[in-house]
Amino acid sequence: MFTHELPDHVVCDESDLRGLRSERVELLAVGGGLACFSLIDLLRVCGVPTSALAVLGRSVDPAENFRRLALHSGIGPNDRLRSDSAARVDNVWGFPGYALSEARSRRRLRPLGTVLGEPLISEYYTPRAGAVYAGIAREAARIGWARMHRRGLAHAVRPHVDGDLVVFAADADGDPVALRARYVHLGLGHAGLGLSAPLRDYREHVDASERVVHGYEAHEHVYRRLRTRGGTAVVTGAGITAARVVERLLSERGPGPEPLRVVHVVRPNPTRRAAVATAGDPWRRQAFSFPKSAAGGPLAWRIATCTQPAERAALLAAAGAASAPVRREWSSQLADARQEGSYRPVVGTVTTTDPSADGRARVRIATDGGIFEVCADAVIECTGLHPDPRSHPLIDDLLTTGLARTNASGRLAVDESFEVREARLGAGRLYATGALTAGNALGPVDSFWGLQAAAVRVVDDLARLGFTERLGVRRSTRAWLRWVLGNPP
Amino acid sequence: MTLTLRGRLETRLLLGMFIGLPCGVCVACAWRWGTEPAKAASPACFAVLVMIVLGLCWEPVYHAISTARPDQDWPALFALCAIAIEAVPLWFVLHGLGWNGGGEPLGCFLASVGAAGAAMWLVAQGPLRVLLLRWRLTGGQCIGCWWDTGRHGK
Repeated sequence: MFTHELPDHVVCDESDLRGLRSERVELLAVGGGLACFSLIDLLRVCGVPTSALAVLGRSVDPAENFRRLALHSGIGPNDRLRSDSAARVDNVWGFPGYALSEARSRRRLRPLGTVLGEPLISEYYTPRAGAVYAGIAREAARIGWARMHRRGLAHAVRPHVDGDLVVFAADADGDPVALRARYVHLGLGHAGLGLSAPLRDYREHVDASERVVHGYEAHEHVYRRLRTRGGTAVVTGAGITAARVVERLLSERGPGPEPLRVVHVVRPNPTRRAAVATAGDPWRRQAFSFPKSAAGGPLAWRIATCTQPAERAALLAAAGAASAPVRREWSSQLADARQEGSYRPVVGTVTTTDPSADGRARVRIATDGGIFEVCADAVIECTGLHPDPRSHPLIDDLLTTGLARTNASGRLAVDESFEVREARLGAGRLYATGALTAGNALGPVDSFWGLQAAAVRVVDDLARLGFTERLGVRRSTRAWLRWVLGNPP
Repeated sequence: MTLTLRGRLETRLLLGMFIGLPCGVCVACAWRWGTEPAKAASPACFAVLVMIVLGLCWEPVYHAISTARPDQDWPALFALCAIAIEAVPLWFVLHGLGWNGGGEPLGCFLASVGAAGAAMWLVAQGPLRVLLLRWRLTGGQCIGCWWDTGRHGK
């Protein structure tokens, strides 16, 4: 808990830091997750020493938050993530990709064949979560991540009269500290779980987390109960988490006293209505969260050069709309379940959730045909993570003090170099990457590829400011050889 | 990996000149080991140069095809097949230009054009990302990058 009183003026001076333990570095990355990891990794690859860098975060493991969310949504270390082979978060060059590394470690050519044939002959190659975590741990050790890490929680960023930026934070013991840096990077990720109002109300007033859970929360007990007793599960959402949860639920069907049924609620839109009416399938299939061309291709160019904020927001919303991966095995599982009556898609919106007479959760869904009511043994909300940047106290403070603004998509506005321009009051620079910055010049900002693409832009800007050397052909090749050999940068 | 049209043209030119040409010429010289190097190299060099020029004409076609695909992508297999597809008209164009491959047209053609195409494809699948870090982030653009052009008012 941060106990120090924040200055009531925007630009702070020494008097505001009195009584606070203070430390100064050249660049401070706030968050400590994969967005920070991508940037710090690239800076280390460019040759910036660890003494000039610091990372502020809760956990010393940069993958911890990602691993927890993945695990809760049903992706264990042996399961595959929805990510491209070349989108390698521990290797800024994307070469060798995860497929080549897997082929080498397993001494099998199959991963390479999959990459060669994707998506025509084979489905897209996707890396195992465990391999991704192992790569991150290896790279973190190589770049000296632990030496740069400071355990704590940031609460506010303010410019200092001498040009630096000051991050007011609480350290591991909860004591207030002031971390000063010329350059500050925010990689805070999502603010929390996005639970819809009816389900939030139910949890607050009826049942804390037994029947109504979020897909990113621990909810193994739900599967256990449904496996042994059967019953009805309501799943809301149409993205990768919902797909994963539906797949898991359908695979839990067994000889219970009651058959396991899944009612899948998707928000209405014309495409979904037509898809459910004709094929009974509400899923929008797409290999990755954005089309491939949003990662550097023609769509990326269109997004980057779109000058109208509303038009860009619409373009991004359409390209990044909730989708499920193209997987033949899962599609046939869905088709079988639909035929058996175990899977029922409903296009509508959950309006209320209250307890039924038999102790279950009565979910009312407003559909085109009227109110559809389900008595559910479990409700799993998979509508994503909290998108409102104001949910972060630090971002809320930035927005309140006018040091940042939101873009047309309601996220943090940044320029082409991922700089928060409103915070540029002196020589200090404030950057932000990751999920916070959706709706700007880059589409898939919270994908592995997007984190690295954003990091390259930030580092190029820092190179222009003279903080580091630009990674040209020779420097890049030398740095890559060090990576291959496992030598520190 | 998806490329913009500009990225395609720049990549084709860069890979052709720095990878395809030396590889094609070296393999052709090795294939005709014992022949005077200049005699072996010049027809190979000419064939690869024509391949690069024709390739620049093919790229807008590939770009149109990729734009029509759902993900607007260009799978690695397409890029590999393109080498074989391009070889057929290239053969006729070379003949039309009076090229005889130093007396052994088919062998010289396969050695130079095949080696050049394969090397270009292989390098584009990975090593190029090491040399040009921003290449995969800018749709294959090799010169400058989107965020360095100043067009967005930085």
